[in-house]
Amino acid sequence: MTAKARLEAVLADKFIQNVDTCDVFIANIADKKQTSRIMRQLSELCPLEKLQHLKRIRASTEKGMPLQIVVHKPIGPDSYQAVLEIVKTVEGLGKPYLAKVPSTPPLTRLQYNEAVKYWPVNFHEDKEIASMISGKYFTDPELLEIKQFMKMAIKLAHAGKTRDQIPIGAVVVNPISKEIIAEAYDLRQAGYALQHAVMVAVDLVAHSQGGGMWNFDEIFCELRHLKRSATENTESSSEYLCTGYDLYVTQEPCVMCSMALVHSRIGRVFYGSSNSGGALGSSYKVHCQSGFNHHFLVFKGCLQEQTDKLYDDS
Amino acid sequence: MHQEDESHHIVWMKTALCLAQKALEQQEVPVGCLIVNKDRIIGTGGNEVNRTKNATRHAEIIAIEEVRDLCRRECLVERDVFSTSILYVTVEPCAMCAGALRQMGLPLVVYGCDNDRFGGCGSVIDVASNPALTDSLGPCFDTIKGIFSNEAVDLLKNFYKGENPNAPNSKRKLKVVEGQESNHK
Ligand SMILES: [Zn+2]
Ligand SMILES: [Zn+2]
Repeated sequence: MTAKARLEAVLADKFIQNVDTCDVFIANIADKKQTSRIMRQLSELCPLEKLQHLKRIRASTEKGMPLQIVVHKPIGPDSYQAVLEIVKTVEGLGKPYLAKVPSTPPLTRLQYNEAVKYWPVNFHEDKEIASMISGKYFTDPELLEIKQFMKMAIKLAHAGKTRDQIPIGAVVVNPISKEIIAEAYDLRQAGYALQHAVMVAVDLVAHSQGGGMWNFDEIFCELRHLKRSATENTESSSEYLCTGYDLYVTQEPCVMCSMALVHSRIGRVFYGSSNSGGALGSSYKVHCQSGFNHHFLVFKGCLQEQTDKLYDDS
Repeated sequence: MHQEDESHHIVWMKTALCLAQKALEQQEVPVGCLIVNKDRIIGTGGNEVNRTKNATRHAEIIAIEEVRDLCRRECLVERDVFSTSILYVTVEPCAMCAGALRQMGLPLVVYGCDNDRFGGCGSVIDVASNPALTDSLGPCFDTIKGIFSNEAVDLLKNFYKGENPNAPNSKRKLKVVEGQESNHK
């Protein structure tokens, strides 16, 4: 199952980045019996606010070491003085000093393990993200199906190549009904620079819904879209652009195509080879860009051994 | 560097604004777009997402295709025409259109207001001037923004004011509104 080994979720940077830290003032608690009172007082005097993910208390692993408690984050240039004032009003606290703590909650197990090296933190693992990272997101039958659809896309890339086009193939599938909605390949060598495989696929989906804009030359006979009767088209009004559909494409889409997929409300994208100008992982992560109103899942490396061969300089 | 053309830009932006106004009167997304070559309008565009059921039919793309048609009719070299043209549009092009404009080789885009939701010239991402994309999309293009910005915003506000997404209207209607939103705002 080579496809299984290579399929990789393209996650937002926040799931991948290293743990960011910030400074806070902490103090020692000499008498452990006073801990709950000190906790109560401090939570009223200086709530943790944006640092809710921190556990307030740290017990040292070494025997005989005092408990440490987060007092406050630095407030300004006179922070130390201000914190000193707070410490004075709470009985049983030692002199405040600075320590580094994680500034944001950990989102993955890896980040959690990293974060606790600084300070104990709360961690609520997102099961879906965790399964994407571990590569167990898809079942074996699902992986088999994904492979089949990517094989179709590769076939279309080859078909395009025989018609003097750049070998990029794309297939749009309804993952519920398993219907193939569109089969496309890149046409930009045919004269119009914007007819990338994804743009062609998106227009073929529009054709399947009784719309569409481009008329494709008959010589590109492998291009196809699902054909429904007129009544079916008016009845199946639940269809809206590419909502809920999956796209299989042999190469990472460029920024124009990726944004077209945002506008089209695509459900998921599977691609084979990465591309330096690509916008679903390489130069941008358009699918999870904050600001855009539609986000979707992206998996890369799908049958990459085969798609890479399409783009070897030969 | 385009300072001396400022008065020129104002005239053409006024035309773009008129197109947007016309679109509003026809209950279409009020975005106006034109491509000008040597003081001649060679392409115009408005939104056609709902009619074509294709979410990529933005004003800029329509205008590009009008220019291509004209080149064919007049036997002009497309590349030369685009590389000496200016695109005027009332709203900042989205990231998709910015990518398209780079590939067509337009050197300059003049627009009115920012597009906070999809902007590809700096508002959300900066496709227009990202040098890392030169290999895949071609050269960067310059932008001039802010001409009739308030007027462009007012038109959009006017358009979206007429729609109440919470009203108990049909699903179909809601979808149409969504589709329009996905073009430009
Ligand atoms: Zn593309
Ligand atoms: Zn656009």
